[in-house]
Amino acid sequence: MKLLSRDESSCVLQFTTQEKDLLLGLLPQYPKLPADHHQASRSGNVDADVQALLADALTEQREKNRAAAQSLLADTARFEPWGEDWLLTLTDAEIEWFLQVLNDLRVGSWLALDGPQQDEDGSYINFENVTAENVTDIWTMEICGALQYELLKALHEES
Amino acid sequence: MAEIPAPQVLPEEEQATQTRADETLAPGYVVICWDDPVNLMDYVTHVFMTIFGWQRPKAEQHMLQVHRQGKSVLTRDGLERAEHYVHRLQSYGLTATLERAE
Repeated sequence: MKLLSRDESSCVLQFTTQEKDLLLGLLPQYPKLPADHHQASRSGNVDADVQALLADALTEQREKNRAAAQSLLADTARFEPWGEDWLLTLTDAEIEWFLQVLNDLRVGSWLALDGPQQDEDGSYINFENVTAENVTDIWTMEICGALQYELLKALHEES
Repeated sequence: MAEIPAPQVLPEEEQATQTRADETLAPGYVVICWDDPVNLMDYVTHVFMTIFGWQRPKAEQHMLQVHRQGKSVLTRDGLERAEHYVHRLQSYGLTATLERAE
């Protein structure tokens, strides 16, 4: 994935066919992070209604993100053919949505793997520990991380 | 004829309303971001820049504080603003909470 161009309000991303297919295969999994994952406070000195308010707001946000993912899946014409590759134009708001969705899938997969710690070489799971049960979560976590990394690198290359 | 007592304002109610307004607006809450082993460092920096409008050096400073010290106090504000910031940080999947300022 590469940033092809950017103006004040949108950017054009270039995907290989493999990257496009990966992305479209990931989106139906959203949301993967459990709804009760976040807490309003760790010290417990915040009123219960604050926790309820934040939980409601997150539920609403997740529903908006899920609808946007469904919309992109239903409208694959948004990927314009460009030689052997594909172009996807995203507004600034959609870029933030895209990052949130990728991160939800990454962190949700990590939790589904019981939150493994990162080794010194940067890996979370040793190859010999990959099983039929955990391979999808490992794959999702790694692919989302790679897409996040590439998108962030493209966005901040200028700064 | 019995006199009708003059209506009285209940001081407790007035005080409660005032307390809520003060709590909402006064900077009595801190927004904290906590370390976790999964969010990418560049991602955390990007989120801080986006939500707080910080330049990269300041956002990186707070990201590194989260990474090295386990947490960073991002801002101190009234309850409503603190709720807003925590909601936005959690929308991005960061481990963020609000706590009463001591």
